[in-house]
This record gives sequence, structure tokens and C-alpha cells, in this order.
Amino acid sequence: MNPILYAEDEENDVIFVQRAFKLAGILNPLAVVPDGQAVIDYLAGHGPYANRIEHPLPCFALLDLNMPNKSGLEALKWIRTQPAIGILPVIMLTSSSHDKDIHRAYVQGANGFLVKPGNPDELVTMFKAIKDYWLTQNRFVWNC
Amino acid sequence: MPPKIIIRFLLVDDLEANLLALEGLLRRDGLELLKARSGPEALELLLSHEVALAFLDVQMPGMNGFELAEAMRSTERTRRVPIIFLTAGAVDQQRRFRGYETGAVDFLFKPIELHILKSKAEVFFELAHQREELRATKHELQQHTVNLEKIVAERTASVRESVAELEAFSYSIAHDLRAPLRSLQGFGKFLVQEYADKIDATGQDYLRRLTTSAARMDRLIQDVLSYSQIVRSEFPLTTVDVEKLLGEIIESYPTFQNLDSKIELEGPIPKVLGNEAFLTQCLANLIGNAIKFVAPGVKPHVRIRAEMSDRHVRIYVQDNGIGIPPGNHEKIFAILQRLSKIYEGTGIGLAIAKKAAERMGGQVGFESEPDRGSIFWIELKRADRKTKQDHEPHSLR
Repeated sequence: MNPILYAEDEENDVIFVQRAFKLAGILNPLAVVPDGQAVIDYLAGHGPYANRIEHPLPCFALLDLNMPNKSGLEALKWIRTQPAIGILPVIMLTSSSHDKDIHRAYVQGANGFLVKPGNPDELVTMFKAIKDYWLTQNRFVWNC
Repeated sequence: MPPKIIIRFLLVDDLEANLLALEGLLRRDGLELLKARSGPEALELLLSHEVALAFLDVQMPGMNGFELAEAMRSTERTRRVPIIFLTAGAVDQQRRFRGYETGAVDFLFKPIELHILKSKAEVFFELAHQREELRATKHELQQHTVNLEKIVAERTASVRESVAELEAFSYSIAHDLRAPLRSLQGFGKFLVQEYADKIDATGQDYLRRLTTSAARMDRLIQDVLSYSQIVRSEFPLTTVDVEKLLGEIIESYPTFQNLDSKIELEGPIPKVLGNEAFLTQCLANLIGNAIKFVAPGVKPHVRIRAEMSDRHVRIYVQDNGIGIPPGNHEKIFAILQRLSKIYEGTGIGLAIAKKAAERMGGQVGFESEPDRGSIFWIELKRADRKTKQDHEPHSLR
């Protein structure tokens, strides 16, 4: 089963998402990377992510906006320039609800924009919705 | 200090002795005397100097005084220079006429009566001096105006910058301050939900206090943010159906759904000019307070109604609560002021209501006595009495 790539620099948020993932009943593994550059390295199969058996291509990516060492937006920009991985569905997952950020994300080719809820229970609800839509109803180019 | 004003007179005579005599007679502080021994020399001096008065000897070899005067009148620069002719000739009507024709202002006949010449010169000196002073003042004023405009432009730019900084600051409060707070709340919740059986009663009490404090801080941040948003945002005034809005507010706020509390909406409530989002905050805060501040065991009973005057609509929210002690009537709308620590709150709700009402061109107020409940009201412009002004968006305050 292919993983879901999740880029997040905030450790606490990673714990919340991992918990919500589990409680929502998502079976795919969650591959966590700490910044935008790591997203690029993972998808390009560079450095620590060179082994595709250990690090298979994700079904889709969840990207935080503000991260050190390349933001989520910069990673998205890079993805959209790639011939093969360019079609990867990318959903922004951020605490920002600024119109400007939302607009910029779609301009760069985001497939969705989710605002992190403050309450961990609402995060579980959000991941149940992600499971229903992206992992149950939606079809991917490669197997997920 | 403004520069010292120098007035110039032109003295034209072919005789050096006469020039020296005139110079000696007229010399004074602030007066520069330009001396010319002939018409052409005088014209040359006039090219580079502005003079306030010219003494012209009539009888000069070559160009005489009248010819010089004519030459001066024919040039724009020197056309308006007052002239006093000095003539040795007897009273000669022909000559006088010729002089006036060329625009002379005066004649003095030799032998010159010194005090007359001096007092005439004095008059022109004073006139010129006043004119120069006026010109300097005018210039200074213009300079000030330019400076003021520059200062205003600079201040405006700096205010704009501050507003932008403030917005960035609010944004970082919202996100940077709230993020760790949410982690705090989240982990607290996990402990309560998943580890309750491993924590004793005291530990659970600590945990409860920890999560309530975090929740309270989150509310404070959100309220301060809404307040600052109301203070600075720009919005148009539109017609708001308050009765419909009130119905929606009462239905959609979970705290207003409590079966113990009774909220009566006594229509009709006329439409007002306002902003729906701000008005929602205003009314929700007033109704929320009306329900919250009741004595223990008392079931809240809130009545909402409206009165209409010529130009305004006043919406009343009446409660059966604890009322407000007379000494506190001033404090109640101030930001972060709480009259009681028994009731949960941030002390920002009424400040938001007041600021929102003011920004919609209205006002808020109340009547209250302890133990007899309160009647809070918000007054806004009637929607059916639009004026041109009401349509203009409110600018930054």
C-alpha cells in the first residue's frame, strides 16, 4: 500500500496528524518529512530516499505552507515542473486561512486547501473525510 | 531668521558731485544706492538690478533723463519703476507734460529742497520695504505649505506602514501564538481521554485547570483579534434585515439553545444600515451576556424588541440578570474590563459591541439596576432613510 507523504516541521502537529490518521482508520502508511526540500528529495528519490522499495511514491501529498528550507509552496512549484511526478495530487494542510495563501496555492496547482482545525477531534473528522474522498472514492493514476 | 531685506535706488546724474550729494543725503541702513553717470550706464545697471525708485537728472549729455525714462518704460522689467526727475530748468509746462507722458511720478526742481527729496525717498523706501517683506512672508508661507505637505505625506506613509505591521502582527498572533496553545489543549485532551485511569483526582484537577486556562487564552486571543479587526477593517454599510439575522443568531449559537433559557423575539424589527458580520458579533455578544449574567438558579429570560425614531432604530436586549452596580457604568464598555470573576468571559465582548456599533455609525448603551436586570441597546441608522454619506465605505480609523 502506497504511503501518503506529509510535510510538516512542527513535531506536535505531526503527532496530532498521526493520531487522527490512526483514529480515522486510514491504513496507508504516513511518510513524514520535515520541510519542502525533503519533499523534493523524497519524490526525486535522492539521498536518504533513494530506495523506492522503502520509500514508494505516495498516493498524494499533504504539505504545510510555512516550513524552513523550502516552503510547501516551493515544493509544490517544483512538483508541477516534473514530467512524471508532476501529476501528483497535492493538498495543502496549514493553519493559515489567508485568502492570499489559498489563492497562491491554487495558482501553483494545488488540488485542495485544508485548514488545520484547532481541535484534535475535528482533525480526526477531517481525516475521515480525506479517507472517504481521496482513498475510497478517488482514483489515482498509480495503485493506492 | 529671514534674510535682511535690501532696497535699491537708482541715481542718475552726469555730475559726480551731484551723485555724491544725493548719496550722502539718502544713505541709510537697508538701502543700496546704484549710481550711473549716463543713460546707457543706468540701463546697464537696470539689467542686473531691481530698483524701487529712480532719481533721474533731466539734463544729461547724450541720452537725457526723459529719453532714459522712455527707454525704461519700454522694457517690461523696468516699466513700473517709479521715477523722480531732477531738473534745473524753470517751471516749464512743456517739459512737465513730457515728463508725465513718459510716466514720471514726480518732479523736483533744482535747487533741490533736501527735506522734500528725503521724505519722498523715505515713502518709496518704506513702500518697497513692505512689499519685500510681504514677498518674503509669502515665500516663507509657500515653503511651509510645501514642508507641511511633505510631512503629511511622510506621516501618512508611516501610518500605512504601521497598519500593515499591525496586520502582520495580528496574523502572527493568530498563528504563532495559537499554534502552541492548540498543542497544549490537544495533549491535555489526550491525557484526559486516554490516560484518565492512570491519573489520580488531584492530577485530574490540575489537568482540568490546565486545559481550561489554555481554552481561556485561546478565547482571549480570538476576541482581541476580532476587536482589532473591527477597529481597522474597511467595510460598506448595507441594508441588514435584523429580524432575520436575530432569528439566525438565536438558532445557530449552541449556548442560546439551552432549554432553561428563554429568548423572546418581539417583532417587527425594522431593517437597519450596518454590516452583517459586525452586527452578528454585536447582537450575539449582547444576547450571550443577557443569558450568562443571571443569579445562580435563575432561568435566563431575554426579550428582544425594537423602537424606531425618525432616523434610527434602537434594538433592546432585556434580561432578568444580576444587573450592573451604578459605580461600574463607565467601565463596562472598556476593553478587558470584567466586573465579576464568577462568570466566565474575556472582558472584550462589550468592547467589541461598542466599537462595532460605532463603526456602523451607531451607538450602544444600557439601563440597569442591581438585581433588577439590564436593558442593553444598540442604535443604528434606519435602512429606509439612506443618505449619500451612508453609501460611502468607511475608511481606516
